[in-house]
Amino acid sequence: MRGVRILIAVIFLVGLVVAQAKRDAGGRFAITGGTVFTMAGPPITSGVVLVKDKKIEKVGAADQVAVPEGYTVIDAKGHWVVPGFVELHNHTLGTDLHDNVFQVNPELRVLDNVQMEGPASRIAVAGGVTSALIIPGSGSNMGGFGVIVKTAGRHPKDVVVKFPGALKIAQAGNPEQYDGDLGHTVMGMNWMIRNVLSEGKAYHEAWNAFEKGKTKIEPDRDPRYEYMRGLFRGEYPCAVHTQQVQVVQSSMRILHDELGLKMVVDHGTFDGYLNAPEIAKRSIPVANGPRQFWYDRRQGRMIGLTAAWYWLGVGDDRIGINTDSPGVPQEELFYQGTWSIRMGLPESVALRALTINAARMLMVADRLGSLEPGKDADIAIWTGDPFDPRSRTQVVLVSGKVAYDADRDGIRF
Amino acid sequence: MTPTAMAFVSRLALLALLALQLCGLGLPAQEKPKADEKKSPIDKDGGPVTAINVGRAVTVSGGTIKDAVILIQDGKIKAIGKASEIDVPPTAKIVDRTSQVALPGFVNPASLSYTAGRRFTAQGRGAGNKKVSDGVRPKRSQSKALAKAGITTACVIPSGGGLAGLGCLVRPAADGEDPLELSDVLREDKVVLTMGFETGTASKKTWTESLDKARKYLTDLAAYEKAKKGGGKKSDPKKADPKKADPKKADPKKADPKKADPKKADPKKAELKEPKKDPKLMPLVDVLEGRQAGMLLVPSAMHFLHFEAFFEKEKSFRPALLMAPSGLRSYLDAWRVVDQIKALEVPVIMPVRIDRKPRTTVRRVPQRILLEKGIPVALVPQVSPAGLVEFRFRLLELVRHGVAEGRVLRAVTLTPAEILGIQDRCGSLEPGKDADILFFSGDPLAPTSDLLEVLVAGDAVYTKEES
Amino acid sequence: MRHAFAILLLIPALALAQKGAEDKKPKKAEDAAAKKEDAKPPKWTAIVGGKVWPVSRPPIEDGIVLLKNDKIFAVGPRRELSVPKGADVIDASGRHVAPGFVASAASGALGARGTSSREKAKDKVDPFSDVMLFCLAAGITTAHEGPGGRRGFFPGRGGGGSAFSGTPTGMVGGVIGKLTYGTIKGFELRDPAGVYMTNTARGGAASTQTDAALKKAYEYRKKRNAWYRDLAAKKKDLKEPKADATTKALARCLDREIPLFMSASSQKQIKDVLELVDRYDAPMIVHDGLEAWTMAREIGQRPVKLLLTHRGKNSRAGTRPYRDPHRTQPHGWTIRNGALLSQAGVRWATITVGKGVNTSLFPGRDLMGLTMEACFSVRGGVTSTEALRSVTLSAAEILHVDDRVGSLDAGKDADVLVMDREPLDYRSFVDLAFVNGRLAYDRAKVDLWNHIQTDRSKGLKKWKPWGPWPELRATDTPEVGNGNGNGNGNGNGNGNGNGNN
Repeated sequence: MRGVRILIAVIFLVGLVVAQAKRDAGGRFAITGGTVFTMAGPPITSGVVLVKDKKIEKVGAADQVAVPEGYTVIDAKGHWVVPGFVELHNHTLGTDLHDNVFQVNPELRVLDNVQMEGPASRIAVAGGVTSALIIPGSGSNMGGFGVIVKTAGRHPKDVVVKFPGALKIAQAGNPEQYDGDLGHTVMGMNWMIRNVLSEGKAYHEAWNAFEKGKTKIEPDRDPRYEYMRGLFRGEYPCAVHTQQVQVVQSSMRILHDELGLKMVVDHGTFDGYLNAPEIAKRSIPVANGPRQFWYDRRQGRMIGLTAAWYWLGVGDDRIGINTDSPGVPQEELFYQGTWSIRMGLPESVALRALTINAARMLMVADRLGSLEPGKDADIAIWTGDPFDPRSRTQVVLVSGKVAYDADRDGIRF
Repeated sequence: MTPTAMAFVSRLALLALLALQLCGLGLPAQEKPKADEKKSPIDKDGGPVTAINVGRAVTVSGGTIKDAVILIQDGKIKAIGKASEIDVPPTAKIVDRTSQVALPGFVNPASLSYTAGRRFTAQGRGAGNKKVSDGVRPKRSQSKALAKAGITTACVIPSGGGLAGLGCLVRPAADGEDPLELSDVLREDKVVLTMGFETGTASKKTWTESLDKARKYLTDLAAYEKAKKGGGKKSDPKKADPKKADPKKADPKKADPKKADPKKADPKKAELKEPKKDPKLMPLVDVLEGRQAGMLLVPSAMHFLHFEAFFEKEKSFRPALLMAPSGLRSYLDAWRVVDQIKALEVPVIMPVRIDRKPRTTVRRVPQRILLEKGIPVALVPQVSPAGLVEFRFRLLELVRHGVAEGRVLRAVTLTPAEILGIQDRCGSLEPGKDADILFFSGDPLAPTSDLLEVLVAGDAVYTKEES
Repeated sequence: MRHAFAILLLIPALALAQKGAEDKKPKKAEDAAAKKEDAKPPKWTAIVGGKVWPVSRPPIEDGIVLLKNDKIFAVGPRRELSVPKGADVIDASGRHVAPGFVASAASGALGARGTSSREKAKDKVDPFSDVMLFCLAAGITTAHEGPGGRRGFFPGRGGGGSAFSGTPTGMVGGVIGKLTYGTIKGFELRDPAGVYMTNTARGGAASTQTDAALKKAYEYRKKRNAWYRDLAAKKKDLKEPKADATTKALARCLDREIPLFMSASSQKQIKDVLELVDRYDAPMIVHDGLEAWTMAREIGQRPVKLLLTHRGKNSRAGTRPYRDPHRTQPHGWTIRNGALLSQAGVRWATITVGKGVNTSLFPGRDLMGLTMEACFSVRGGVTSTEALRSVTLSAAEILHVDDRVGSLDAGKDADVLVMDREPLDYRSFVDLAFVNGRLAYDRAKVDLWNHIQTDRSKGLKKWKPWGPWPELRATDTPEVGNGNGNGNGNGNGNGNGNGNN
């Protein structure tokens, strides 16, 4: 028995070395026979997806796309081929994501805390989640800058998709501490983010003026506001932990209306959905979770929150779903979709919410979220409807590599 | 009944009669022959007579009389009717209230007045013969509060589970300086047997025992009386309790010669003796026999369902249901079992409060659901310091939520009087009843009208001070 | 496997034994009542045309489930059964008919407050409990509640807690009952449900006490059996062996008359349980069993059954039992738990992570997601049939109530669900729930889920959001309105939302 274990370990190590060597090359795969949900058109029954050099090479029906020589064929007959899910709100794939001394921390970043292939991400991959936005927790009003990562890969170069991914802002629900200190009430917090973002905006405008030659005086470089520049250029959004009708309103007013920032309503739970028409007018995307329903005492009714946002006007392209892992474990992102459908969201919308919509919200739709040529080969092959808890992933490709194979690795989830 | 009432009634059209009856407003009985019509209602040997002219008298039992006169003598209403049809004796003191509206005093069938700091609860075990009057400690402040709320008769009930005890009738007393005595406020003792039910195995066991014992007493009594009448020949020995038949325990004092005779004739029959009266249980026996008014605290629909088996078992046990939450449930949910209550044909006493639908903030009026089903409902003020103060405004709120005004007024006057079995004395403005009268500056259920004066047995217990 | 079969055979025998042990007087009264009932014409309910999932047999397309009063009279294809005259006919065509689900570990579902050995749950049950209503809406018609646990319904807060507490020396308690919403008739299935013991992997006092208690019961049982034999042999001067109530109850557990429950999650805890099982030949129902898969074969060889969670116990990743890379032997949580145990012939029922109803926290971990919890076992390799069985018949068998509930078979209690999709579909809702032949829940009439349509793309039915800032509604007149779909963009939501049915 011990010998076998040692043998397995040796094989594993050899495998690691080989994998390391092949890392930059990437594999060539042809996924055939499955129903392909490209998210860029209607589903293709018996479609073919070609993967080459970490990217998707071609997608099409079997009669249109031939499998070239040298491609490893992955038979997905009877299975669903779906883009890897993009998690919008995660706290577990990194470590130590709370710094609660100050209410606003624009100088903090998650980038240095990313954990490569931890136990959580190993199961996340098996749940079909291939990338995630890791953001600081909501213990403080402005937690810092998050990073978008892949859930598989051993090297930061492979893992990081985009940094900064988003600025985490938490509006009510966690950061207010009511201990008498500055900014420890909702009112105080609103002042603080307004203040710090205004300073950041001034910093950005000063540098802009200098760079465009409008002024010769070079402003002082301030690391506190450095990442704010991209924010004001609109390169990444604010991921705003905001829920309840009044808080969503104030977030919308401060960040979108006053400061002109791109924002994503994160959480959006309780009766936040009542703002849907106003949110829709401003084309602000909404990621609902981890609560998928809310008991409305005024009606005595169970309200499906994602469904409520959707049917009240947020629409197909801007609706998203998150887990707030560890609130809901990362691999159960699909299950959040399951409940949103149960509570009234159309199935096709839920699938968009977990893939292309999430990628759009994070402004990485050029790389993630759909099965289109040129995009990252993040593909999950499901045994059936991904929202049915009875289905599971059979093979998951992350960046063109088989990150999880149920036959090879055993069923992890 | 009286000539004035007769005259008044005779003028009403048949349709109006029907309509009134449909509304649940009974009419005064019309039994006396016409010859009585000319008899004066006034007792010549009685005390001084007061004649009150009112703009309107809402009698509750006989509709509304415009420009009415109420004749009062010795604390009783002697006559009531249209001013044109009442012979006011020349000696009468005439009071002018022509701008006002008269209403019978409110009757509160389940009150905790004059008792300190208690709450409705169905917890614990009581004793049926416990008199709540022993615990009544009258206070001027409470008397004033009662009067100001327009409550002229209140039934103070004991709290507790099982056979909680006997309630008594109290009333507000006229203003004065001296400390109140019980006799100042007590109107009648042992009016109603109050009972309580809490869910649970122990509580159900207590109830099974009580009802079984009461029933057994009645059965034994019937057997005994049958034996006594028929010389004991026809009585069934099986019905006699073998324990009771134990000759050693027989009380020699009670063994009278009549009983002794059959003893010799038939030793088996001789053992039959009058069943022992358990004083704690006797009030329940009286309730079963219809001699005593009964009131059962079943705080919610859940409690009702748990008690239902007892109603099925004991068909003559039909007390009024006091369905007031005792801290278990925040809403009044008698409406959930409205069909079952209807089938029992029992009245329901409930707090005068707008409620909300379960699990929601949506308002719903439980009283309306019961009333529309045809169940008699009596309304009581909330047991809280504010309860009496807001009582009249809560009634008003019910009207605003669609309960007919007549129904609301009946639910605080005649229906509670009927539940307590005192409808011959109060609950409406009728000749012969106590002169418990409220005078309002306008429509009693209008927010603009004010309660100006309250009479209890013809004496003012509350007069609004001029501001 | 053989063992499990033997137990199966035992169950009816035990049920008979229990019936025999009951006092005869009430039984006579029951018979009399039954005769009276017979005098009345029976109430027939026929659920016609749906796909019937009897659980004990393969599904029947276009079937009839015929209910006579409070029992199932017949189940079969439409062509083989006829509907009696005067029956209430419920058209279930296009819908699915399943037995009511059995929640084998619940807290608050029965609406009974503070059950103790002295107070019976049936005397305390609140048939208007909101938790009960929510559970019925999730298809649960029978629930088992251990002693302790938090009860109540907290809109806006978390609900439910551990359904199992017990004591190291054994606590007689718990109740198995029906969710008879709106009535208290026919509530009780068994009260007390069994004996509950706690056992800690830390060893020490608790497990020593547990061991001592079982030993005492074991010794008592020996003496008692000897006494029985002497009685049968008509020996003279016999003295009945004395014991306290708990010991007597534990002896009944050893007789396999009532179940013995014990919570065990880790390997060490389960190992302790197995040791006790071996030492005292005690059948056990293990609650939780997170690491049970690591000793599936050992469990399968013993009279041990499991109430199983398929997902990690806690939703917090910090306490989530991921595998520890520093430990060599198998350990931790795996989604294959149920499948591996089934392979080893272990009988198990599915339980949820949260034991109550939770309307505000994270979805799908409480009783409202019982069927979906069972679905998680399918991911690990269990068949859908077995997953459905784990919340119906298997659960009933483990709790010794399979003579009454758990499947659609003639003679069983008429606890029947009519669902809009198949029982294990994550989109399915219970349209009608019959408990003891009485319609206890009708989705159309309860304003909880009736705005959700079977075809999700049709929008929400008759739902209007409250605010901002709406008219204050003074009455409870139902809001009449169509779906509010006005989705912009790609037209998927556009217009479709106005579908009024």
